[in-house]
Amino acid sequence: MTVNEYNNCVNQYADGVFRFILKNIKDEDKAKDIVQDAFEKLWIKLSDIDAATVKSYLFTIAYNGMVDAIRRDKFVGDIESVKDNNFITFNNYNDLKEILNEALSKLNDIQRAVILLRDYEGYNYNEIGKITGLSESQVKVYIYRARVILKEYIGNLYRVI
Amino acid sequence: MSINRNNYETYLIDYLDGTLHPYEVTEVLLFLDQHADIKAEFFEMNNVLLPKTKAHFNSSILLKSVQDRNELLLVKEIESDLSNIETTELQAAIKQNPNLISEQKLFTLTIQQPDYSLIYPNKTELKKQILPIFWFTPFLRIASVIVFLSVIGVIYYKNTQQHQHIVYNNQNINKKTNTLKAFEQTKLTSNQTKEIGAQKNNNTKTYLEKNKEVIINAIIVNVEKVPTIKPHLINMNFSTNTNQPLNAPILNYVKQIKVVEPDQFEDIKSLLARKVRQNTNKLIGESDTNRQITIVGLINKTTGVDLKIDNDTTSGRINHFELAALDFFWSKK
Repeated sequence: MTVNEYNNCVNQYADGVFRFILKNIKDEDKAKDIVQDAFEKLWIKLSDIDAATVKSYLFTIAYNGMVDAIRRDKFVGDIESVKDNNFITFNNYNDLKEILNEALSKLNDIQRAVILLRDYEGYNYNEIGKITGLSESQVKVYIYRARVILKEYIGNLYRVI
Repeated sequence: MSINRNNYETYLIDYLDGTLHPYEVTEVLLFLDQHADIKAEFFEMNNVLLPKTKAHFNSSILLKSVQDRNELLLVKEIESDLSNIETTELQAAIKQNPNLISEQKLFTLTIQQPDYSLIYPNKTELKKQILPIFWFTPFLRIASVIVFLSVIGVIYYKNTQQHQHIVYNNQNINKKTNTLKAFEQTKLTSNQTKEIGAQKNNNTKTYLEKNKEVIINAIIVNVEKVPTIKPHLINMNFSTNTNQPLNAPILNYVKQIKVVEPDQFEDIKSLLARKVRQNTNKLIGESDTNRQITIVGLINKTTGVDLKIDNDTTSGRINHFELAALDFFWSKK
């Protein structure tokens, strides 16, 4: 890859990677750091990376960075997930977007990541597997379970509203 | 792999589980016939097998699996992953259970839409600049800056020095020129002035040849304007009415002006006069006293100031030396 191609990658993929990470960890500063790290690593490996595979490479690095960040904050994360999962509270939702955001938080980290890669970026099962380090069948299972959880959460809210 | 006393347990368990290949079964039976102690052990092991129980079918499992199957088909539908058979199966399931339509709608709602308002705040921070290769080496980076500053310094110094010389010379030339002009006016007759004017306007050589005069024509070449001036040569081409060209010494006029101190300005006059006299002597001869030389028309283009020299009274050969025009030449009076 050339420097120009690298700069084009910044224009093309920085927003997508940032969006994906931010939706997963909900911390803008951390998301920025992860995106920055991903592009720094890309810059270091610039001569080894083919322009055709750079998007997957960026998402893979960003995903791994995100997993590391989640592990670092695991203790806090566990407390929050226990609280959220055990005590379902129905807030005042203005639109479907907010409901979906809330539903997304009910998924575990892997389920959320595979769903976002699937829906946001349109990756197929094989590509998602490469990014997340899962097999294709594992990806299918995670997506299936995530869809069912989302559907049930949305269905419950609809029934209440 | 043959059965022996070290591995027979595995074969016996597989035999009891019914997972052995037929030829392995034969091998196991042969092995038991050959080893009575193991055969006895085998029959004891056979006795400890749990008795078979009647299986009870739980219909709720089936119901759950049907629900899972429908959910799976609905998920596959929104994932665009349904085969033709599965599509038919799902349609049939929806016909059979219309409640699946609401499930189908809910699954459709699970598809996440990207929030395009979320953008990375400062992409320019991530971008990289293309720098020249030498810029990456710290030593070369410093060296290039030093060289650049040195070149600028030298150019500036040279310009300053040159400008000082020119100003310096202009002042002295101006000072002396007034005196020389006044002297010239008293010496030259009106006829001579006309002649000079005519010489300036017409072809100098033709005019002088027609009057059978000795001509020395000097041409100033490559004289530039102040302050970008460099030392220039005055290429003096001598010719006579007999068309015999002579090579004159090259007179570096500007250079000479530069090296002369203000109080030595008279020396410039005598220097130029001497140079001219030397050449005219070669041309005319030292003993030829009948000929007087007039020098007119040498412009100092460098400074833009006229410089005139009167005749050399000691030899009587030069009655006028003027640096005021493009050319200068001698003429016999």
